[in-house]
Amino acid sequence: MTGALTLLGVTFLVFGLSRIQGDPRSILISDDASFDQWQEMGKQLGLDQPVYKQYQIYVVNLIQGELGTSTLQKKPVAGILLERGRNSALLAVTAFSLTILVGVPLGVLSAVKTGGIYDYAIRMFAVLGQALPSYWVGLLLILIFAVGLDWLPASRMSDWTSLVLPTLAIGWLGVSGQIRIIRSSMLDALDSEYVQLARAKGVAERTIIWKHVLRNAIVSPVTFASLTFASMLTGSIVVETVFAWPGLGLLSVNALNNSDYPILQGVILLAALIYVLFSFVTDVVYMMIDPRIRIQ
Amino acid sequence: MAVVFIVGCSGNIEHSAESFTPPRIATSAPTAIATSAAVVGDVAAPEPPHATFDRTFSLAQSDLTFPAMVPSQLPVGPGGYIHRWGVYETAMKWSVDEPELEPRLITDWKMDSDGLGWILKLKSGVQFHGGWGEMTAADFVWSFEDEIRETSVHSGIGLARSTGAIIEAIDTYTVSIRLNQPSSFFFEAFLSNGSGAATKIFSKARVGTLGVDDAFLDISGGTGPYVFEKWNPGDEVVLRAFDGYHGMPPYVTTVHILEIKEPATQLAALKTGQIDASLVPAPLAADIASEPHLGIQSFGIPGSQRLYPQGQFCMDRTLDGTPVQPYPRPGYAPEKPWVGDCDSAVSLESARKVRVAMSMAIDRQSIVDNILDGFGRPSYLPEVVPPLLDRVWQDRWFIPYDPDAAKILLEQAGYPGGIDALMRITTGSHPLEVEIGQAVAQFLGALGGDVTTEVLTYSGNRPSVVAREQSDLWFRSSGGGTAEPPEISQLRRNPENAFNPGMEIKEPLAIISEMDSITSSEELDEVRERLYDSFSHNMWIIPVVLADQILGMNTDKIESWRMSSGSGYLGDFENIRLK
Repeated sequence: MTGALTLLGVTFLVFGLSRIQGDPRSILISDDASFDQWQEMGKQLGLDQPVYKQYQIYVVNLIQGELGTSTLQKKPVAGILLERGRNSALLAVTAFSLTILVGVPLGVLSAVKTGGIYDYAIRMFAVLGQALPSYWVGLLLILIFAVGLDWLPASRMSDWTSLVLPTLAIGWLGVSGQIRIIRSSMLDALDSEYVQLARAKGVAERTIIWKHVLRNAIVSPVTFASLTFASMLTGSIVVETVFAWPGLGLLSVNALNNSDYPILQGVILLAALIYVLFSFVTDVVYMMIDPRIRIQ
Repeated sequence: MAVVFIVGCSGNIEHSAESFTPPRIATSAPTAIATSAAVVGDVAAPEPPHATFDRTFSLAQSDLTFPAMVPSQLPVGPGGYIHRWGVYETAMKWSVDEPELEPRLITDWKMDSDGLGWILKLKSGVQFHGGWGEMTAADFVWSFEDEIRETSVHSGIGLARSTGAIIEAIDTYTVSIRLNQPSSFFFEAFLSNGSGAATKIFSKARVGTLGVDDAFLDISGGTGPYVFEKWNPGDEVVLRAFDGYHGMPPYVTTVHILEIKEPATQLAALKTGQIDASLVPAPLAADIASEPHLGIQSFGIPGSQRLYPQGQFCMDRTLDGTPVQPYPRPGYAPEKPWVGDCDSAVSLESARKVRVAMSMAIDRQSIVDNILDGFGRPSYLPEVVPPLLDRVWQDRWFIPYDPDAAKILLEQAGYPGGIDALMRITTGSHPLEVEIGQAVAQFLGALGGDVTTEVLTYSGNRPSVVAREQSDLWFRSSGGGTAEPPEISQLRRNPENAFNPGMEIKEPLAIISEMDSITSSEELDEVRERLYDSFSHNMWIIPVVLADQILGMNTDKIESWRMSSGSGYLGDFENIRLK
């Protein structure tokens, strides 16, 4: 129910904002066209209707599963989203893998070695990853690894090598967040009585950390990971623009520039849907990893 | 804008492909070539190869919006790609060597004795891509008629209708065009490749067979040296040399046009060899030129950057004498210093002084030097760009940077403390338009008033312009073209234009009417001079700068790339020669 209300709110927001942003006729009709032509095209695009009526038509079509047709491309929005969504998903999966494979071990290491050189180095890495804008990080990566070292392509989607730099640009932020949240949760857990008891009973430190502490500290990182993956899946506007990656982020930039309302509405609605879905999945995962939540 | 003088010639004039004399020749060359250690261009073209070689060329472009493959639905911006890239063709084409027109889909043409029409002889054996058959007069007629039909979005529709243009097929390879009044712009606007208004020739059978909706998306048409192999909107366009081309086969056999939005990424791709060419923002041109394997050059016609003092809605009759109703418009604001009261000569004179003062307060050369890094020039006439500009230029149109004189004018106009204004800066045409607009605002603010700026997209601003609601200042840039200057187009169609930046003014109408009845090029020059005198004196639109288009390219790979002089689009891939 909450999810449905959220989606309805998003449709309202998206619809209103897209209308404020511009008018597709500005792209489609030349300066030399007549006022009558402007009005006529408005009728063809349904822009002659009152805004509330346009919104009503939009929502009714949505309920019927109709996302509409791109104003410029004249293709169904659903097909375009599917095609671009695949590209964003590929990037999201690699960046999310990086987030988990690097973020979790480094977060644990930072917590276990708290106050030491590893902890400081990892925290510095995490702070930089969160503080540096991904736009700047992307350009820096291009400058170093493409222009300077000539190891990797500067942009666009081609073979696996083209995945590396955008994955790093997106993934660094995710890794940093994961490190900080795992470290914080782990430190809380490491101070708990059950850890002291386990140590007193002579349980191996490795077992304590990976089996007892991490499992008890994992709820917050799971939430964070879920939202991180959702944001990656919906496409990073900045990183996809910098790397010319033909995903949902770049699609939405083009739709915004061209006032292609149906595409813009489709992308944002898809993003909202993914967030709602991931929130639900996260709740389910909570129950799996913490029986106390299931009982509540 | 270059203007065709064909209507100025009396009697019959015949030209053939073998001994073709251009319809008119401007006296000055187009944009200058910029410098680098390895400037390309101006290299004698080697013999074109057989198409069996695979010569691939790639470039970046910031936007690959799919246009439409039906004449009446082609928007002016992306619509220009399809002929500049060499897929679709026009009757004539701007030469790469001189600012003159040369035949492409025609072999010769003849002007009617009354100067109101032309007979075009089409080239035989021109095949459409995709097996749509041979181009005939029927295709030519259909393409023109479709683009000026009632619901068309074509950019030349206003000019076509104002001249009452009618096109007919005389026989399979002969076409007749008749106007009901002379036009100094029609021939060039519709029959050359110099603007978005250019009439691209489409296969009538293709649209008839596929239907409009499918033809819209179908990329199999065209007659040019390249065929569309792929158009993935927002990602990539691939062109391949057309085996059945009616002219010289192109040297480069495959062209990849990649969408890379971010200028810094474009340059990185250029530096790493991922692409062979891209546009370069002026501040980065020196960096590119310093690379050992890269070079830069200016090309085409510079884009125009200007300030509209909106709200001037004083037109009470249209060009043809029809009374304008209702009057005044929503955006008419006589209290604005640059507008004045339409019914008071004294007030209008004060407003004129304010506009002239605003113009004199702008240090154009400083903008060229500091923002455009020298890649541009000051602009003093509204949207008149090379090559016409250099030909018609008069020193009296020069506007000095003189803030002291500007303040005196403001004082005379009743604004000794300067003027307060909101300036909207619209984006989407030039990477430095916001910087230039803000510089202009600072110059105006230096007169003493409070000048604030607001940045928004062109598409976000235009609906209010169509509705004639605005009376603020509007800074805008656009690309160069060679059709009729937009100011004249607007005045022809105002107040019914779907673009009206508050320029409903009476004074130039008589001069435009006079221009429309002229039949000699000398007379046309004389009248045009008066028109520009009028614009210069009144500053209804305040020109600021003409910004060059700068191309960066891999000189290790590209030997030369000669682009025709008629527009500001990247194109003419058939003229690329590789090392």
